[in-house]
Amino acid sequence: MGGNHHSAHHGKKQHSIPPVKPWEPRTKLVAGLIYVFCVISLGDLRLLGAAFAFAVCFALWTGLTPGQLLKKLAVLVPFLALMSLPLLFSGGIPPAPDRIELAALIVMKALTAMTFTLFVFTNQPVEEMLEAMEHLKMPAAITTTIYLAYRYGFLFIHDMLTTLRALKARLFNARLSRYSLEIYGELSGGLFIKSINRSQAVYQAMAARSFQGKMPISAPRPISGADWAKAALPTVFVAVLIILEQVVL
Amino acid sequence: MHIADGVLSTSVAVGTSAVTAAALVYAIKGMKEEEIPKTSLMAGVFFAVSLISIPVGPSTIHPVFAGLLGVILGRRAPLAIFVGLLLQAVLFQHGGLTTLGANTLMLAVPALLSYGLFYGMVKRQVFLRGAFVGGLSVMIAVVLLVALLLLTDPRFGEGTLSVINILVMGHLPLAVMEALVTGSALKLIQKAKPEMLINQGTALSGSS
Repeated sequence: MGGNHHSAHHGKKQHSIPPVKPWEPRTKLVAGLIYVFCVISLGDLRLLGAAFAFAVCFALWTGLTPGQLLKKLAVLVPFLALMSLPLLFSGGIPPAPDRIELAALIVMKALTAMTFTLFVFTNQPVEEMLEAMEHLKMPAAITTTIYLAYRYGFLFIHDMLTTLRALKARLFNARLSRYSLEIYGELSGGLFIKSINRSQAVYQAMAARSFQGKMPISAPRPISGADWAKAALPTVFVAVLIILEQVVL
Repeated sequence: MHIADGVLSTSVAVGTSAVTAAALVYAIKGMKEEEIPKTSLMAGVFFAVSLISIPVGPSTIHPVFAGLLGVILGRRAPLAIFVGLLLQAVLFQHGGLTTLGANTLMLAVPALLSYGLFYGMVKRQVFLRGAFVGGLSVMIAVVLLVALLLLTDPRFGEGTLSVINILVMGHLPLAVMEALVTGSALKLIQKAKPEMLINQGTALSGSS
């Protein structure tokens, strides 16, 4: 998803991600969800280390470079610091071993789950992923909403950044003051009004093309033996980690 | 306001995902086809405005708009919030898939409450009503966040500089900011496109 967006909207600035052999998106999505939910249930740092290494291998397999992966994971740093640092030091200095372990578990789980999430969605056309969701019986109202929000979200980002640039050019100084916040309020209110106006035009255009509450989707691609094998790999791997934790450790 | 993957215990992550699934069923029930573009584009704006950053001390904060979405979309707000947060998690790595349910719930509950409160105080000025639901929605979200963290592990709340104390202190300026931004946004909407509010108010009185 991300890769497509980048190539569509910032083609000149972004490095393109080379294509890899396509994996049937339903099995990929389900395997991804099983993996991330099972990973957060692990409570042993060594097993989480193995799960993280496995997720990194899968992410690199999609065509992400180590640098791109690091850049994407770096976004998590402020969120993780906000959770981990108070957890480490609120019990006193030096931090107690149980607090160090809890903070390390949070960091490892977050990095592993996000790395595997990146693998699932990077280099995957959004249309295919949404069709997969619909074939997995997700209601059409939800998948259509995701599709349109994805398509129009970046237009709103563009509008918003243009307005913010215009404000800056008029020496607007962003800070926590009543004046600034009222400006931000009017900017946001304007965007919401624009979205309503645009939604009416979008609906009329869609209705003219026989839109009846759901986007047209193609028949699901058959799931091959290779797709089942690819889906089984992370699922079995994380199941083994859970069994190891429950039975052996 | 985004909880990253790994912060919540499995039981809390699964439980909040289940409750969010129920909230989504409620949100799409009876949804007409012409409502889909409106809800989608609102979700798109919700996704876009998360990139607004207002400097506060050495850091920055951004408005959440749970109250504003609740006022404009009513019962469809959980769907727009879910979609906006999903896009933020997948495209910008804010939040995560395992915490998507918890993050949605934290904003959907105040959004639905804001809807009822805003249209229940019709005699007050729009700015005041907007500011009230904007500030209140942040406080409700923080209360839910604290509850989820305590359900996960009581150590999140231990010590003077605990995670919970820091989160509560950090969200106080956000509540003030959200109040003013939501109030101003709704005041503008009332002036420029009052039918956006009238239609919702009519829907509420019609459904009650």
